[in-house]
Amino acid sequence: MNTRLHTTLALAILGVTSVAQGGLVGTFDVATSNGYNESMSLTGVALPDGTYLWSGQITQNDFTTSGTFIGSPDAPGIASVVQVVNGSDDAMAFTIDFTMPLTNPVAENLAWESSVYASLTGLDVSLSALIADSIWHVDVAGEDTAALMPYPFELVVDGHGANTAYDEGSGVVSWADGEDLSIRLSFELSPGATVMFNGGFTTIPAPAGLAIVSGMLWMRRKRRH
Amino acid sequence: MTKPRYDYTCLSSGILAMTLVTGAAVSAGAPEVMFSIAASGDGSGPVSGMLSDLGAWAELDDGSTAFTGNIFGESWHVSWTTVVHQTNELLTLDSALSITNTSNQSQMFELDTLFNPDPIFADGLFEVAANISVMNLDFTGTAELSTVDDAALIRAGLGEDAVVDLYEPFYALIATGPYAIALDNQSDQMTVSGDVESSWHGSTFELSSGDLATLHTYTVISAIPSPGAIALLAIAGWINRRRAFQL
Repeated sequence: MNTRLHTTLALAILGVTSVAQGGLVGTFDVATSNGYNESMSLTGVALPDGTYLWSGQITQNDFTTSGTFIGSPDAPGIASVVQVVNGSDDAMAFTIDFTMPLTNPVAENLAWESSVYASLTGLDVSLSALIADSIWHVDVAGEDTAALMPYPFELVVDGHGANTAYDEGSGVVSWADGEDLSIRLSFELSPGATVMFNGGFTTIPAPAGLAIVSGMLWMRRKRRH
Repeated sequence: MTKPRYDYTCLSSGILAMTLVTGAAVSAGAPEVMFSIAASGDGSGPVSGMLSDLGAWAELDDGSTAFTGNIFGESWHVSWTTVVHQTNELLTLDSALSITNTSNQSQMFELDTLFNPDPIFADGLFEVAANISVMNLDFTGTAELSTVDDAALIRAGLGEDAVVDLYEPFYALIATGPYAIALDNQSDQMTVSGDVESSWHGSTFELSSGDLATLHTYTVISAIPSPGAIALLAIAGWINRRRAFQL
């Protein structure tokens, strides 16, 4: 068997990167019901707009995972794309976690918005939430803030083809001393299925924070011009 | 918003490069799957090559082969998961792509995935399904994923003859609000005949600055048994049933 663990950091391929500035280190954790458990550090690449991008892949003989995360550590928000293939002969449970450090932790009540989209393909396949759990979680400073696609969520493809599902939520988080923001995907995937999640979370700055963010955006724009 | 100037010469050379790669040596055991990406704002030209060389791959326990990886361009980032599976009865190509436009201008992108399978049956049903999404990575404004000129956003085919277009022009998918997502899905099918030489997915689109798009395209060709084969199966079934009654 050709068992290989391959982690591809964003900077590693082709050497065509010109935007890399070096940057924040995020943590990418993947665990499966088949006993796989791996935690790896991903170095973020600074993008021109001030956000960071992290990307990592895992390839095994029974599954593959690819994660891309784009976040703004100074104005907490994160976008993610996670792709998973169950190449085994049985249903598998996955827990995929990415933690982004915050450079400027805040301490206030913040409104948040979150949404997640799932695209499932294969032959007679299904994606389902684990019992008493949700598929999409956002933890702010260790507190489970957003939970979308809750149990008994299920997405099915009958015959060959594709299917999609979408969920969104909003609320207020009391942000205390937290120094990181993490997203977590927990789900069961039937054999032969491929799923791609696209999810986002953002906090909506309070009036004072909004003024600071607006000022930063104005300065960035001015610098560009 | 400043509109980019599209460099079609650059894109054409990408397709040419992909064709030239066809005869190149591949990693031992990996199926021949080629990938190419070109962006209008990228002066370094298109990137193309075998997926087995561009990232990681593995033969999965269910008999399929999966490829994963990511590439940073000058003004974009792409990550992929591509799965190919071939048996005597069916051939599937499943590609999940995420593309981020990291520049401060909208850009046109062209991506192609091409699988050269072992020779396969002559007649079958060709099914195509594609889910797409776009995400606004900003606190304000919108994110837009749209067609370019007269090209469909998603194209899938078998060789040069059987081609399915999805999200035909003019098409635009728009997400409004901070970190908002817009999504859509389309599918189609057709019957095909003749030997299958290649199975491919192509996409051409424009993506707004600083935003993220996902494209998930699934194609399958499944054999339609010929009348002779159906007759043989029927006879075999009849003989089996007769034997069962005799026992």
